[in-house]
Amino acid sequence: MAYEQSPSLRTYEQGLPSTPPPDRSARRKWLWVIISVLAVATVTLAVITFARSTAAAILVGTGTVTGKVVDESNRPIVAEIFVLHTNIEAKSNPDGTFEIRGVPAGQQSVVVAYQGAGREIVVDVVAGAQVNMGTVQLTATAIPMTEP
Amino acid sequence: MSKRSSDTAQAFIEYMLIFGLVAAVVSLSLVATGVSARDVYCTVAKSLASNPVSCAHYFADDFSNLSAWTIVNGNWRNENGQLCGGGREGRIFVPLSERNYVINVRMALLQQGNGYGIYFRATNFDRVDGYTFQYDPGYSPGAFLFRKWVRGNELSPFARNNAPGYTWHNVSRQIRIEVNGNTFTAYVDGQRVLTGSDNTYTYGGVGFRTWDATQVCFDDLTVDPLP
Repeated sequence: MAYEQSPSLRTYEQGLPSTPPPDRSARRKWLWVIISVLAVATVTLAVITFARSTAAAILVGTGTVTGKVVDESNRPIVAEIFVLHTNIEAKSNPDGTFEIRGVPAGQQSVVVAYQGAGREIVVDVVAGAQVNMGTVQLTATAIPMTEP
Repeated sequence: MSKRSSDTAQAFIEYMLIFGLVAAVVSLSLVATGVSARDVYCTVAKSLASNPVSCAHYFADDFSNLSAWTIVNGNWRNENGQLCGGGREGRIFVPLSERNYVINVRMALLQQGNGYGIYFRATNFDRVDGYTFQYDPGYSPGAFLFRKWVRGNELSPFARNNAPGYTWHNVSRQIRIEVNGNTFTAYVDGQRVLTGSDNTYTYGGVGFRTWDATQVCFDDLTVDPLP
């Protein structure tokens, strides 16, 4: 038994006890097993939570998404473009083209919207590369917002 | 410090460490699974109680006034203790932070027009993100829909059930929407009419929507934990 784990002299002030003092080292060993298991579970869960976050997505790398937006008559339009699960927002140029940089790599849902109605398109973004969504045709089916 | 008190202090630290780690594991598990602590409490309380336990509503309104609501646009008003709206695009919301819940509207009466929507998991009310269940006679040939909203823009329905010949107008309907994880189920008068799924939004409030020439009144809204 290590010196640190030996019983205190006070234990024997009144003479030798009828039963030996409990061995605390075994209980402590179990405590540390429990602590280790809980620590591993905590780290695992923290990693899972972080992996789902936007910060983790950015660490994976970012790419660029390009394309062109036209209306039902194939005329270019200034549309709103959003990347879901991020704060990325952009607008297409008057000629309908757009280029969005800094899109997290991986499968991303891009929403292209015009006059209150939109389309969702899933794009595979590759880190350090440019992905062309092609021409997105929007049909205005929604009723434009009316101010209160 | 004596050896005995040193042992006691060390044991105390170890127990506190275990307590802290258990708390961390529990809270991270709730975050990872998307379950709220309140839902867990309600589930445990219901399973332990010998008598049925009713966990408090997340939100309830009999529409005696509209003080809890944020009117973004439209002609929303209190009429005879009911919430009525219509005549143009209208949106009204109440914020919630819950993820999963059941919406019950005891009375939804569409008097005229192309339909109404009930928002759920709605946030950023001025440019709303969220979902609607739409009771939509205007969506030919008349349909129940789930739509997603992104920064105030409505996307094409991600779930649709055509209901030609349905009596859409001037019948008081009970609407129930179960919002559970990525799966949403709508009931009209106790009958399941639509199921859809989407992973975009995980929490948020509820609201109502009108458009076109719709005239509609609602009464007795409750938002409760899942059964």
